Amino acid sequence: MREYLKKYVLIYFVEMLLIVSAFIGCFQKEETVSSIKGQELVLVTEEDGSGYYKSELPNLSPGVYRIRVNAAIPEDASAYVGLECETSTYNALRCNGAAIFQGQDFMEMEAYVLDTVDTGFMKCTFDQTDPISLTDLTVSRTNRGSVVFLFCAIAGSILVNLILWVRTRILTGKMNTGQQTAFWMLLLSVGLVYFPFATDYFDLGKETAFHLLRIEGLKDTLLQGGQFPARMQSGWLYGHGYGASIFYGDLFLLFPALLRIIGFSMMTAYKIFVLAVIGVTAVITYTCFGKCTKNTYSALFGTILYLMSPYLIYNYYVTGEAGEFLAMAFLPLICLGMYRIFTGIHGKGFSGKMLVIIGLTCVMQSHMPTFVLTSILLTAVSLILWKLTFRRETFLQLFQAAALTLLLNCWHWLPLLQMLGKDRYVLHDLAANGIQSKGTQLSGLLQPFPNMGNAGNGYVAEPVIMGTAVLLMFILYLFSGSPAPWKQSVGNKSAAHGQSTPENRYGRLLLLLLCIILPVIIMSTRYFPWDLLAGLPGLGLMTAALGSPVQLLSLVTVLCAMFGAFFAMWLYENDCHQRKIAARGILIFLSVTAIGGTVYQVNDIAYERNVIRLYTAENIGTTNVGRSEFMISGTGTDDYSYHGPVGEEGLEYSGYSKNGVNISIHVKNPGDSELHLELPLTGYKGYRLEGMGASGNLPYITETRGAHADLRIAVPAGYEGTLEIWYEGLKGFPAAEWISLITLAGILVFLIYKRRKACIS
Amino acid sequence: MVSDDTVFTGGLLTNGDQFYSGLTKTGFYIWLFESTDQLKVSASYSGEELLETGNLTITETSLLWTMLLTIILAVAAAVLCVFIYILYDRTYQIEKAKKNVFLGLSVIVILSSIPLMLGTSISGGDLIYHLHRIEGVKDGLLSGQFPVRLEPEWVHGHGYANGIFYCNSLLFFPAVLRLLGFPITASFNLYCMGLNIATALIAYVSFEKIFRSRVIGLMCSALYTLSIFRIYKLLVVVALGEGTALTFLPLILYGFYTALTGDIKDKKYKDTWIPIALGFAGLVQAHVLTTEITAVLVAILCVIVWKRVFRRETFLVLAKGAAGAALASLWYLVPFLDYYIREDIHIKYISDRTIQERGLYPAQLAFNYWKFGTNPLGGEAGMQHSHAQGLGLIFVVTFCVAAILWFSGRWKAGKNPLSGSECKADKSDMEYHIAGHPIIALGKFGTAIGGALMLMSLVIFPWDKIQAINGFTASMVSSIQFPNRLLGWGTALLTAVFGCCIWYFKNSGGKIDENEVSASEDKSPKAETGNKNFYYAGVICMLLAIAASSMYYIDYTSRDSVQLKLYNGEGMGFGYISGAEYLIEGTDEEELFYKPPVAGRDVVIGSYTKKYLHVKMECSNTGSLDSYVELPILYYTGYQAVESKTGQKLKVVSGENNVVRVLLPPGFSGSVEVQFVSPIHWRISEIISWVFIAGVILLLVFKRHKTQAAARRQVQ
Repeated sequence: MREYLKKYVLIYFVEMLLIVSAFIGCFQKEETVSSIKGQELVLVTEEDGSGYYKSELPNLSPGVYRIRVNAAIPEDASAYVGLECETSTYNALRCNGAAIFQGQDFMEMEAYVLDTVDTGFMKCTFDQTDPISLTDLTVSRTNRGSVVFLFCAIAGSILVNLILWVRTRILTGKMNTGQQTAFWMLLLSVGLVYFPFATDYFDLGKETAFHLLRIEGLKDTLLQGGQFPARMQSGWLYGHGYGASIFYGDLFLLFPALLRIIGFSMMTAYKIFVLAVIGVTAVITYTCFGKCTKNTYSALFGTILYLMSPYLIYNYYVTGEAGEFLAMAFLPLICLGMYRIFTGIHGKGFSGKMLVIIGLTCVMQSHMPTFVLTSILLTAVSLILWKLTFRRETFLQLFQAAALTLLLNCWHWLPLLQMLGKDRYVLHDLAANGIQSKGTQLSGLLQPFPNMGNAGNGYVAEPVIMGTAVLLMFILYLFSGSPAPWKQSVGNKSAAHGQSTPENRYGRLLLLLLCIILPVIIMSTRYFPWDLLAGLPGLGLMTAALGSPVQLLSLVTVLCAMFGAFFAMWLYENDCHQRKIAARGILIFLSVTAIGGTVYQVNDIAYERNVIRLYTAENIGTTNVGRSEFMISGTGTDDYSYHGPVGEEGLEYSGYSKNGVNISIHVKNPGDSELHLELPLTGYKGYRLEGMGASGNLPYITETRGAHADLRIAVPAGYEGTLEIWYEGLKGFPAAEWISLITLAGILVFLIYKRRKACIS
Repeated sequence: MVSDDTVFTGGLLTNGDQFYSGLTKTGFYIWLFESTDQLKVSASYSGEELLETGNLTITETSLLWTMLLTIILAVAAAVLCVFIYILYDRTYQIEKAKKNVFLGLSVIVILSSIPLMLGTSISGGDLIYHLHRIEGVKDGLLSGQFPVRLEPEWVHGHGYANGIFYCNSLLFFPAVLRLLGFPITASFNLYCMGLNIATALIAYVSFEKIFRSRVIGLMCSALYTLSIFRIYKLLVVVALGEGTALTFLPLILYGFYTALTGDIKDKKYKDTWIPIALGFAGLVQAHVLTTEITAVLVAILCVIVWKRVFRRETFLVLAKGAAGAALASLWYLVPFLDYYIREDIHIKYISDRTIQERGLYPAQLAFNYWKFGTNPLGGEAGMQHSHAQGLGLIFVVTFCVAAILWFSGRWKAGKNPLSGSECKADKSDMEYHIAGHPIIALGKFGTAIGGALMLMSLVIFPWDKIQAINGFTASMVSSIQFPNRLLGWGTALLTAVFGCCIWYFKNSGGKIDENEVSASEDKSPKAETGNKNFYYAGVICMLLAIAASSMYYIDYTSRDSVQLKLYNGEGMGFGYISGAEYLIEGTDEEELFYKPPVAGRDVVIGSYTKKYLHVKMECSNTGSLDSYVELPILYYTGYQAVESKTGQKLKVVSGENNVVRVLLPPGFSGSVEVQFVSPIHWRISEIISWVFIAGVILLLVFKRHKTQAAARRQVQ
């Protein structure tokens, strides 16, 4: 160890130097670079006659800048503010600018300066208003740049040390050739899958903007404090708030939200998040399949099939379904868990039960539809294998796994179900629409070259497919001849002497997997009667929540990859040297096909995608709510705008302040009848109101909502006092949180106890 | 415009010509392959008044017959070669391996020439400029210049000094084809095919000699000749100079490899200066910028291996190589430097053009399935619909594999390449031998420099910062224009690295007997154990890369690109000079149009004739002061004006908008001839070059003769 440290002492010194210098920079105080009033802006007229207002800035040194605009924008007007420069080194100034609307008192946004900019200026344009509407415009240099630098220095040091560690292991012979091959292949595979993001821009998939807003919402909620776990995010729908954290699992989005808090731009945080997910997917898949098959190359083959499946890549880049691709990272854990439970084979690490609990928990915290589908599939598999399932030990393990998963995640699913039961959302309306037509077509499934797709059907459709390599693998498996060369395995030489031939150990498992995969594939197509099913009582909402039968392909993909890992074992399972060589050839061929298909797909995506450089979160708006499933029924995104409280005639109110979803307002009802006040908050159930300095009857939140489902408060006659409104959630929320906490503590205690016991024994 | 609906398709080839104001006559060639009495000559006129036409003459030339004769001779030569080959094979039995190599190289050439067989040219950004260069050489030869210094018809007959700054020696081939009657597109395509043949051959010979394996040589030749970068530069953008320069890079690589790793006691070692000299001479005469990049890389190499460089024998070889290249190119270098130092050329002032935004993204480097693309510059448009500016996946994977091999200690002498564990540093140990082999050193150098070049081609490389350091760096960076230019050497080096990896996989675990290995025979050691799987994987990857990347790109390019059919040079006009780099600074390009001579005060011009850049005129200065005549010719140093009868030399200076101004003394009257005359030191440099080239040829012939005689003596 000492020798190891001595060898790389210079590198450690440089790493430490970088970290220390970045750390010192973190203590810099925020300094104001420029502060001006709107009327001080200078009009610049361009050659084409158009004009804009400008304010010169002093030299901007590298760092993260905060631009705060205080404004009083009149009705139906807006202003646009951005930080630009005349000349700079390439892309040194990164800021998109953002609009400020009527009803918005202030707006804050970030600008990133990567190299000294000496020609920077604030650029403002106005629609139906003039510079006077900007009361104050402040540019300040924050310490976020140093924090980002510190993060990069630490991450870079870890990476360098990891590389050095790997090198030392290789050089000292602690990593065999197989492990080395797997390590490098995984690294290259991650690089290949990340290919379309190896640029300084990205493109918004169909759902990316929604997930970006979730990240931003989570960041804001964390920074505002008060809610933990986050439930109601404030920034959505022009500050009205959206229950994103109630209806969607946010646990893993804490990572990109943290990156945002550190100071990374929106785009960079998202790209790092995607890279991390790809890396985690590769590691989990390889580890799980490795533990299933106990063979490096089989695990590697399965991992390649999974990581490079067209559907997964499609999710990363075309749909931008962060929830689904995140959930897919954890599906192999469930595969390994179920494999261990049913086979009774226990290797190193967690037991099958624990793996299923961890896997299902992670999937639920990522994407609820995938969790539901996985649960249904696991139930179906358990029923198919009823003989195994109802063995006492197996049944106990399965039951415990299911129960503990539910208890552990009680804090998430119970509030979700409570909210769904208490209110009517757009999701309920969508249930009537049907999802069958969104299923894939057969030609799409068999498409050999997965391109980016154009949302059409058939051959030009999006690549909602398993991939050519998987298809070829199935064909090879099904048409491997009868008697199949690999049907018999160990001892096949003795078969020639008339002795009984042992069956290939993996034959039954492959058959079972195929029997599971095929129906799920059929269910993912438009030929399966989903709309008929949706008509059955209780299933309508579930099919609506599913969104599209195509989502079943996440399960198909992981099962195909698992099939692939065992297919490799199935091929290897024989004594004949020539067959082993043939097996190796088949696996290399299939791997090359999978890699080739992926190269084609990521190339097409990179070639066709639009170029979006998103630095300023404020630039993406607030209304990208996906399919709007969890908006209050009867509302649409077009109904919203920034506004203040709206009171009925006669109601007096003042001292209004809003921080996130927390509102403080002083109201006075001098009249003799109850009057109503509408607040710019989406009227979800769970808001709490407290009247301060109350006299007489207390104000309360009404059942009926205001315009575009705004939170409505009834102020009794003669009431005067300050009202505090915040989101607390329904009554079951705290209980659910406690159940989850206790379960988690119990599991941890149990694991520690078990580990100690194992150590002692 | 000439047309005829009655002749068969392709029976009449012509693009017509533009009749510019300021011209009193024009003419162009048409190719008519069938007798007709329906030939139509039409003119479209966009002027305001009526167009009054004069005489129209159609004259049959002998060019069709010279063209046909050339084709027949070429076909006959090819048939003769085939017969000789068959006869030689029957008599001496050519080795099967050699036949396979020939077949392989033929396939490479054919595949790389597919876009050239469309009968058209891809309308790349630089196509017209380079076609002008070819036409310029043709016109220059017709005007009596040799070598061609000023392209006489360019810039609307003003003459452009392109030939002085941008060497055109290799363009003599298409120019001669033009003189023989070939249409311009055909001449250009034949030249590109010639380049493909030369590249495939040079790459094969170079890599075969480096790796001493025909198979690896052929694989490297295929990868290099069909590399995305080369196809893109040569056939899509039609950066003809850069594309031509790529032909010589493997030769330089081979030259330096041999000079630095060869046995200095070997008699043949002294000849290693020849590939260096030939390579550099070719490079200098093809593309100066690539030469500059090469010079920097060579300097880095020399610093890295300075101990070897400063061995007496090696230093001598390298110095001879450099001197040889300089002597062979002296005829071009002297005028070039002369003008570059003396003239106030526009190119010296281009230093504010930033290039970083034209850099590539990492994803672009590793792109595999390139399409034609509509976005050549990147920048704000990112890589959406981008031109094929990257290296290609195969080279990036090669870099990764080599880096992994290096990183994991497999290329470290004294380590076991398979397990990575320490072996007994016994020099007889075969693994030690492989890891310490010069080819591995080449692999390491290629990986390091190839990686650095890839990095420098990226948009994240701080070119803007470097440019801002001082005037020199600003000028240097600006002249690069596109950071992806560095990928030319990147491709060559990573091709060598590919060969190194293949060589390593083939030989690790095997036995190398250096004495058994010869350049002419493929006697690479057979691997007994080790990495045969990786070797075959490498071969498959190479084939896949060519099929799925290069051929895919060629297909898309042939299908989607805009194609141009140009027959006569006049069809493309005479005005386009790309960035106007070789104009005298301050010249207004827009003002350089067909014009009559301009007489100064009191000057009367009588008769005036201008053929190319040779002007004859009768003029007189009736005033009492000096006056002048300005000619529609761009002024570069070297123009002379002489009174025909007396031989009196008149002063020639730069006039309005930098055109030739002949000063006429008061009372002068006479016949003046104005033409460009190469200075004497240019002529001396030409003679030195020709003598040197002839000497080298004689030396090579003599050496070959000597070798053959020695071989015969050995047989006897």
